[in-house]
Amino acid sequence: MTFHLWRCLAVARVESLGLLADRAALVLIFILPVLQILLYGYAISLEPKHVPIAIATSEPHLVQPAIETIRSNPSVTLVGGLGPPGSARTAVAQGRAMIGVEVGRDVSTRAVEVRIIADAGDPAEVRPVVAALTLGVWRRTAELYAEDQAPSVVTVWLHDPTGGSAWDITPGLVGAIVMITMLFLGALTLVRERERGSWESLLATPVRPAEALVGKLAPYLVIGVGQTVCLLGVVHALFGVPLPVSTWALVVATPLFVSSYLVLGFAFSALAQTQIQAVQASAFSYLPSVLLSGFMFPFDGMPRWAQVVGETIPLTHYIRATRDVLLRGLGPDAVWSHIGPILVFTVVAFSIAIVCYRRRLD
Amino acid sequence: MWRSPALGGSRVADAVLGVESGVVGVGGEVLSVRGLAKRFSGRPAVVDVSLDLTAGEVVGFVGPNGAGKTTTLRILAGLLRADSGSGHVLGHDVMAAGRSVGRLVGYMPQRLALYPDLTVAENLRFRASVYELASPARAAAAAIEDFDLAPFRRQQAAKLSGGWARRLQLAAALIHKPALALLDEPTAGLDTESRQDVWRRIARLAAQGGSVIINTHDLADAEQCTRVALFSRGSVLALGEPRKLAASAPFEAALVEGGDAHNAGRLFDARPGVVATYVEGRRLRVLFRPEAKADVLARASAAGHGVEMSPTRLEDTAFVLAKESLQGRSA
Repeated sequence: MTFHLWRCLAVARVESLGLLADRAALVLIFILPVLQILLYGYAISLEPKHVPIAIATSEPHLVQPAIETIRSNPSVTLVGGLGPPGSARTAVAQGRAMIGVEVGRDVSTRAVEVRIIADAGDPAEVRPVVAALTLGVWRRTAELYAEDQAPSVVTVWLHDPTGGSAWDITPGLVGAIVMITMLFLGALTLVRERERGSWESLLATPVRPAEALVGKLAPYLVIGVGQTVCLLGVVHALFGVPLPVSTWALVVATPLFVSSYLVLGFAFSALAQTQIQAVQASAFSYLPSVLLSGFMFPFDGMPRWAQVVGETIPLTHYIRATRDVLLRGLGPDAVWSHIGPILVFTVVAFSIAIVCYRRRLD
Repeated sequence: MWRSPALGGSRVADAVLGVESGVVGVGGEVLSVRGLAKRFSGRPAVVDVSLDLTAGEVVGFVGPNGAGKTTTLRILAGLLRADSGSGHVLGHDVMAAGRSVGRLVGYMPQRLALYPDLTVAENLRFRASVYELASPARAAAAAIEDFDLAPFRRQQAAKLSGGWARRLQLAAALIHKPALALLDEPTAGLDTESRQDVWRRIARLAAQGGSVIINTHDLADAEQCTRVALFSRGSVLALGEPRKLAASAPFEAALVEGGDAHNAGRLFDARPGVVATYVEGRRLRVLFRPEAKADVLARASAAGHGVEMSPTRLEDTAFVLAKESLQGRSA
């Protein structure tokens, strides 16, 4: 059999006609990406803003020029003024600052030593500032080239001894992967049933919308929790990310996180007429979760409105809880404090899904 | 008994409906609805449907595609809400949210609506469970026995042939022994034996006091119904026993033979009083109003054709309605 162009074109034509017939899907395919580009173009910035920084030294004159620079730089905010040696490290450990700078002298050589203590729990915020600080110190060193005892700069990653990017990315990635999977599984439930016709006979039975929603999503909830546990295991085994005792709290909170995106997917499924519409709507909604959650870009770098949106997103809170537990080694309370917003989102999505679940065919 | 604009008919159907609703309702009234109407995006699907049904009756909805039969069935099943109308289905307000009626009605959609990955037994068990039957497994086993599905018990629904899949769907719709079965084309695509099997079950359901409404294009099916509702353009045009309905059609029929039946049709094109003509084997069937009888017989004889009168049948009516419906759409 040879490849026959006309036959191929006939197939392409039928496919195109099918696409054109689904107006809603076309709108989703073309309009939504444009909206997204505008939205994220304005919302996302790689520059963090107001990252809390603490500075400690026993020789204030060494850091005075740096403090002036820091005060005028919107990327960072000085917390607690100039502290005694060791206080900057404490501030980071206690979560009051994300970066601490300890300026002192080497005991034997008396050379100036700059020690940057960085909170590895929020890499998107911290990494650019650490890079800028390091650069600043080297520039200052160059200015003081004539001095025979050049200062040294050392960065300590407080919750990540490796300082490597696997620890930056993997804890957040667990939540992001689970979110995408659940969104699509939820989105395909009802619409698949509608397309194969069993929806009509299901509607004619006494099954109520809430029964259909919970019943349809329950198996995926088990899958979602299983997937999360599996991913945490992989992250621990392959990348050495710690799984402290309080990880149990994270696992306990996972069903709620999984439900939030399953229910959102179900709402899309109830709204959509075709699978392609459901998939498009899901794609439209997982991008804001990934982009506005602080997973990839600094949360504080976003304008206020984008932060408000970001605060409503379950992934934002799940990622914060994951980093708090896995990287910062915080206790279960760090997880419980994030339950509220995820619960609110789930309840709202549930209500929308029930309204959208069209009891009747019209 | 008829109201048809194209036939210049009276609105006798209204009177017939009125009389019949007086007869039913004396005990065992299953449903009674008046003036149901439903539009989809401004397009009328059901314009004016009134119907009464008593326990043990089998009513056939007959009419061309797009006449409003399926929409009416869905309104009665509680799947669609009518835009206007009144009445009840098994005591539940037809205009209220239809959820409560779902438990009492057995609805079989036109499209195959099974879970393809589930086996025959699992499909039935699911239906039994959502109807909260005491023992879903036992109910499924009984349905399998009853509908002769035992050889396919463990087979996936997707792998059943068309006839067996329909049989399974019927078994699923009737598993909770509903007081009212609403079956949308239950015999479509079935061979003669399967068709008879479906009818045996419908008859048994009716004998046990259940009521059945079926949508059908098949006039052999329609003739087995207690009553037939003739649908055209969203309205019930006539309602009554199939034989009486056929006999009371406001036209007569003649069979013209000899020569080319198709060409003979031209003799009657646009003749006043001729309602329709259609080819039946080698003969031409001519439907005409009583006042045109002399003209039809004379023209056929003058052209050298043999001609004889024939009793009107339900098929004639269906043909006229379909033709009317087409003309209505192109108008």
